[in-house]
Order: sequence, then structure tokens, then C-alpha cells
Amino acid sequence: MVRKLFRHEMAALWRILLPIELILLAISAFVRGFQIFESDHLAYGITFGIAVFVLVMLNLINLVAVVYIAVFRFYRHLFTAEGYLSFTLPITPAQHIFTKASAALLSQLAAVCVTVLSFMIVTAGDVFYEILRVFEYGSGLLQEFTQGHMVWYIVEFAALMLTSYISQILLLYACVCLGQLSRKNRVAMAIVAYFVYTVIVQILSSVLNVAVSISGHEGWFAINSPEELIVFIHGVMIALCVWSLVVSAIYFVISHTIMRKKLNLE
Amino acid sequence: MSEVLRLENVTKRYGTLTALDNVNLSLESGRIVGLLGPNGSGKTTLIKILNGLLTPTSGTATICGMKPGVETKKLVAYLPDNVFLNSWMRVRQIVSYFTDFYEDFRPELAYAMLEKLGISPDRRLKTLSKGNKEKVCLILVMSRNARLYVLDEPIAGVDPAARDYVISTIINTYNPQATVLISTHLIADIEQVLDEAIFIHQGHILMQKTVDEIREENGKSVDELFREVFKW
Repeated sequence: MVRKLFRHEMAALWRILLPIELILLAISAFVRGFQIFESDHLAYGITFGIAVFVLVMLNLINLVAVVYIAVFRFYRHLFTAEGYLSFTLPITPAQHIFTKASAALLSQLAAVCVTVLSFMIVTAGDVFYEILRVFEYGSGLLQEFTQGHMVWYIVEFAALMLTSYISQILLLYACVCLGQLSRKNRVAMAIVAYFVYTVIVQILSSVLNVAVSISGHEGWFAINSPEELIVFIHGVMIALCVWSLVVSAIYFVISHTIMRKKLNLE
Repeated sequence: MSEVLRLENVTKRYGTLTALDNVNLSLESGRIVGLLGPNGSGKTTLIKILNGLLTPTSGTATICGMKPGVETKKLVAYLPDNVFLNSWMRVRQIVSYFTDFYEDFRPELAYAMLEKLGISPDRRLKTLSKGNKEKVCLILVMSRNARLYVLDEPIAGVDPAARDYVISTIINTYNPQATVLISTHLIADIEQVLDEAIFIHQGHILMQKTVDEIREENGKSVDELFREVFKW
């Protein structure tokens, strides 16, 4: 059942995302093709500039659109008239949240891949080799600095990106659900819930930052050698991953409880 | 006949408003039952509880002996009082959606009914008229081989000619072993098909009798009795 729900979820997301991805790749190919006919003519410069601007904007939209579409879909599929069907399918609220978050994550990864592909198309040829050389040089420096820990840093960074993304999506889902507790203006209440939460988190993280700064190079955060710095970075990455998973679980429980016990479709 | 639905002391409050107050109800299989009451009487609240869309404040609701949940959703076919389908989907995609999620869904029956109505499965829902959208919803719900059909105001939004189609669809397609619970305030239109009537008012069940009992005991049709009971 989850597999079927996931398939329908992906179809619903990619109905909107696919045209964005195709337009992005088409404009990337256009920009690359345009470079072949390089000219000093003013019209060429203006057209090229506009094409690059559109390409950059589309790439930004592509990366942000998945989150927006996923959250909008979560709201529409579950809390508008469509919810009367969604919640009468033989599917649990947990399965709804899980499939929607998984589809959003997978779609985001696909969108990132398309952005990378777009970059590769635009820089195809000598420029790409130049970039590769710079990348190789940079990674050599990093390898030296991290004393052979770079692979682990990359793994930890990737894990952190994944867990952070999941926690952000689940946070937005939880805010949509919290908005449903209001009798009126449920979308507005969801936005208010998000901003209130964000402000509280900002205040708490500022306090934490100040505490860390004051403790300086003493106590828990004492770093007296490059080896200790390497361990410290590993510790921070792993702690952030664990933190993201913990808050994800909390957001999941909030959404699940509201969908199971406090559901009241309009 | 076996018991399909049971409500025991079910109360639902929204803040200070009591929508259902200590409701007790039992329905047996193989019957078409009218849930009749004026607007705001608690019909939709009761139906939402049966479908697991609301949790009662107190009391217990069971369908075939189970509390509303994943297992009961496999047994209950629910038609809400609004269009609940994705408007961007084609009718064929919606049929496929129902086939995927409901094991008791009969796609061949759905396609046959759509063809009879002249609705192409390739049309997107948003291109259909309001009346046809509602008919598609009804066709999908009645194409299930469910144990309990719960229809919330199935004829409220359609013209008199279409009402006959809706009623004949219900009669001709439902599983005779199942129970059909029809919520409406347009009693005259559905009275002919009812076996039983439940009057609900301000969250209380005022009466639950067979249509024959109502006619024999009161010498009135269900519609006439309803008008008398709920007279302003």
C-alpha cells in the first residue's frame, strides 16, 4: 500500500516539477550553444546576459520549488476537500507522512542532480576541465588539512544534509498540522506557527552561541591541537545529525497526533 | 442479519458546542437507512466519526465490531457532501487510484456506469460540470463492494432529473448484503428506497424505526412525519 501511495505521490509532484526540470536543461543547452557563436556585438551580450540570468533564477527556483510543492501538496492532499478521500483510504497517518516526506526527499535529490547536470552542460568543454582541475587542487588541499579524514567528512556532511532536509520538511508538515487546530484561517495559523517556532529557535541558538563563545578555548570546547580540531568537527557533524533526527521524530509525532486524534476537515 | 454499525454513548463536542450528545445506534446489514435531520442536527458529525475523520469526545463507535481505522476503511465506502477528487486527474486515473487502494473496487462496473452517462474516462475532472463531477464521485463510491455505504447528502446538489439517476445508481449497484446509510434532508426524493429512518436533531437520536412502522403507527409518510417533527 505504501508503495502505491509513494508512486501516486511522485506522479503528483513530478507533474509540476518535470516541466521546470526540462525547461532548465533546455535553457542550459541554449546557453552552452550560444557560447559557440561568441561575438562582441551588443545584442549578443544582452541576449547572453539575459539567458544566464534566467538560467541562474531557474536553478534557484528548481532547488526551492520542491519544498514549496511538497508542503503545498501535503496541505492540499490531506486538509482540503481531497482529505475526505485521503483519510478514508486504508492508510495510516504515519504512512501518509512517511510517503510524502520520502517523495519530497527523493524529488529534492533529483532536482539537485538536474542542477548539477545543468552546470555541466553550461560548462561543457574546456571550462569544465578547468573547473575539474581547480576542484582536484582544492580537494588535495582539504585532504592535507583533514589528515585523511576527508572521506568521513563527506559522508558526515551528506548525512547531515539528508537529516536536515528531512527535519525541515517534517517541521513544515508539523506547522501545517498545527494550523489545522485553529477553527478559522488555518493556513495563516500554520505560517504563524512556523514563524513563532523559528523565532524561538533563533533565540535559543543565539544563547547557545554566546555560551560557547564565553567558554572559549576552555571546558568542553577546548581545542589545543589540529588533531583535537579534527575530532571536534566529527563530533559537531555527528551531534547535528543526531539532533536533526531527534527533532524530526518530534515533528513527526506532532503531525501524527494531530492527524490521528485532532483531525477536523473543513 | 448481522450488526454492521454500533454507536454506544457517543458524544462529540467542539469547544462549548455539543454536536452529538450520548448517541446510541445500531444498524444491521442488508438495509437502506435514512439519516434524516435538519441542517446542523449532527448528521455530518456522526458520519465523520464512522469514517474515522473525527474522534468522539466520549463513547465508542464500531463498524463490524472494529473501531474506525485502517481495517474499517476497507469496509466502508464514503461519499462526502463535496467533490473530494483531484481536479487535475483524468477520470481514468481516478478509477486507477481507487483500484489501487480499495481491494473491493470494481473498475469494470465504474467504466460501465461512466459509459452509460457519456463521460469519457480521458476527460480531466476539472473539465466536467459540477453535476457530472458529483456523479463521478457517486459512481466511484458505489463501484465498491463495501459492507457499509455512507452517503452524505448525495442528492442535495443535483437537479431533480439527476436525483433519479443517483437513486437508481444506489439501488442498482450496492451490495445487497451491505447497509446503505443516506444522510439527507430531501426525504421525499429518497423515501421510496428506504427500509429504515433515523431522525436526528440537535445531536440526539429522536427516532429509529422501519419505514413500514412509521406508516402504520403514524399513518403518515416519512416525509410528512419529518415535516411535523421538525416544524418551526
